[in-house]
Amino acid sequence: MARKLPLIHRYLRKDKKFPTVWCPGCGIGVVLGSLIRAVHNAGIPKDDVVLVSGIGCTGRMPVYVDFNTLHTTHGRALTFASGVRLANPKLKVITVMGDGDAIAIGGNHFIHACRRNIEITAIVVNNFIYGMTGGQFSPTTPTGDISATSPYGNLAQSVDICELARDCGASYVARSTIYHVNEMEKQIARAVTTSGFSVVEVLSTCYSRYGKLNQKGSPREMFRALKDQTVPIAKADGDERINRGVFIDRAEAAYSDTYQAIMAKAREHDAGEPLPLLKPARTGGTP
Amino acid sequence: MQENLGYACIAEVPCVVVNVQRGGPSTGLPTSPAQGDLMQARWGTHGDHPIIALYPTSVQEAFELTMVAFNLAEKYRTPVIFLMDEVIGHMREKVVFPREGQIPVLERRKPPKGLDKFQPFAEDDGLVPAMAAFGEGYRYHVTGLHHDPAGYPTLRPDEINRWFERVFAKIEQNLDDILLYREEDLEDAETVILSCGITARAARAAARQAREQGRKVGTLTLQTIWPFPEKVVRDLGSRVRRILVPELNRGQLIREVQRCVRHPEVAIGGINRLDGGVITPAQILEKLEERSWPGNSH
Ligand SMILES: Cc1ncc(C[n+]2csc(CCOP(=O)(O)OP(=O)(O)O)c2C)c(N)n1
Ligand code: SF4
Ligand SMILES: [Mg+2]
Repeated sequence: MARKLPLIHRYLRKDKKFPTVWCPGCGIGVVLGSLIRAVHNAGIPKDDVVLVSGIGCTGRMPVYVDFNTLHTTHGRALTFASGVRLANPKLKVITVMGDGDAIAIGGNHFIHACRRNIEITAIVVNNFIYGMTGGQFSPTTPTGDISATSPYGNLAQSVDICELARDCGASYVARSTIYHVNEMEKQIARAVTTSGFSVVEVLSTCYSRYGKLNQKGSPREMFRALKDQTVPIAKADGDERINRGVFIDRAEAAYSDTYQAIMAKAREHDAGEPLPLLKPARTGGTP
Repeated sequence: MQENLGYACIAEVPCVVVNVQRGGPSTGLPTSPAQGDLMQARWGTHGDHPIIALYPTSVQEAFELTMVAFNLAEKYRTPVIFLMDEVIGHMREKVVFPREGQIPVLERRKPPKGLDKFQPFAEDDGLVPAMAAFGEGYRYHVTGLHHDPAGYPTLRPDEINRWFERVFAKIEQNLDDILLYREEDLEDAETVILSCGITARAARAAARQAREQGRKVGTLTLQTIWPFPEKVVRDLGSRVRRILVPELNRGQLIREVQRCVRHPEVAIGGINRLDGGVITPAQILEKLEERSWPGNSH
């Protein structure tokens, strides 16, 4: 009997030449697998999914998948995604971004996407480094770690992406790792079906440009370390390790629905009639 | 902004970007007129690329050319830069709205439904590929990387060269449609004032006054500045004796004029202003009288 192909093969592009650009042992492919299964289980048709990325190793994810795919510029995935969503609110818009893409160059867009709480799912693959360009430190590189641009140790504090997202107003915020595939899959499935802006941070590994420099062991050891370095929120009391789980889940607001309503209002508005605020003020006796 | 304009060039995204210029560099002169971004509009984003840039001289034209800008963007799948002068951006002037249909509204070409295979960047019926919207059933890839006709990244020189040839050709083969300009009193003109935007209004006023004084002065006003109307200016260079190029910068338009005119005996001169003021008709008339200009030293 023929071996049954894993589900993801029904979603990978047949006309796209493989292998992927990713290094052996890279964690990004694991995220792609979970993303596909989550979308499949949520029952969202391929035609309705728009997968948007910026630039980076993570940014190369969309090209392999048979969705509507948009590979944009570094840091701008959320801006393109917002445009797509506002133009067609029927689409399920998902962005995949690296830590640098989402939080360094794209940090501003990230904050405002949370604040608007626009119906987009942001999956941030946090490998603690700029992988693609050779291992420069990013906003999530732990203090003291070695990178190509911090050979004596990273000076700055690192940012907590989930805390940032929650504080800025995102509807759904969760964290998982590539070691915890089932958990990640559940979080992504929830993220793509809730309303408002949803963020799933996935801790990942970059053996080539980060692990090696910091003596983190083999790719497999790096995978396993994600288990030891994290703890579920429920058990986190007093534990210093990174928390995994759901930080907030408050399905709310529908930015693009409101936007559609405002557009309808604007269209109904009589073109000959000025908007109340734009009526010229009567001053100095001249009508 | 510039990086994403380049993205629009490579992914052939129809869009219009308005740049109401202020005096620079940097925060420069908030908010006074300058025409310092002409070359930026042409070359601002990195890498070789064609571009269209339009330039209105009045509020009426700002209205009409905006429609034209969207039409060109849709028709040729290219970003169109809409350059304005600060004074026109802030000006209140009478606008006569065209009747519906007077300026046609063009829609982009879409692929037919139900194709077995949709090649989003293929040269099928012409140089401008049909464009499907996400969600309409054709799932494809869009990237800022060089790509093959299917939309996937490529490093193959033949595919990259083909792409460059196509995107340049779609503009270069349609100059008759893209180049907009206004000629006034050129039939017998010995001197032509070539300009754009607010400066063109001073130029036209100056030319009329010069005519009243019996001088054969005409004007050429460019509404499309990119692509530069090379042939129009080259032909002009073989008919006239002098070309005056007033502009609110150190000489950006004049370089293009110098590049295009093939007759060394044609005098090409400029008037430049960068301090936040505009060039007046009086300044232009004064320049036309200047002794050092050929034909004036009698
Ligand atoms: C405007 C701009 N600046 C810099 C770069 C170079 N660059 C490409 S990828 C990258 C960082 C990638 O890091 P991250 O977003 O964490 O993705 P990863 O490769 O780790 O998945 C940088 C700086 C670029 N492409 N564009
Ligand atoms: S450089 Fe790092 S992040 Fe990029 S593919 Fe290699 S292992 Fe993965
Ligand atoms: Mg990274």
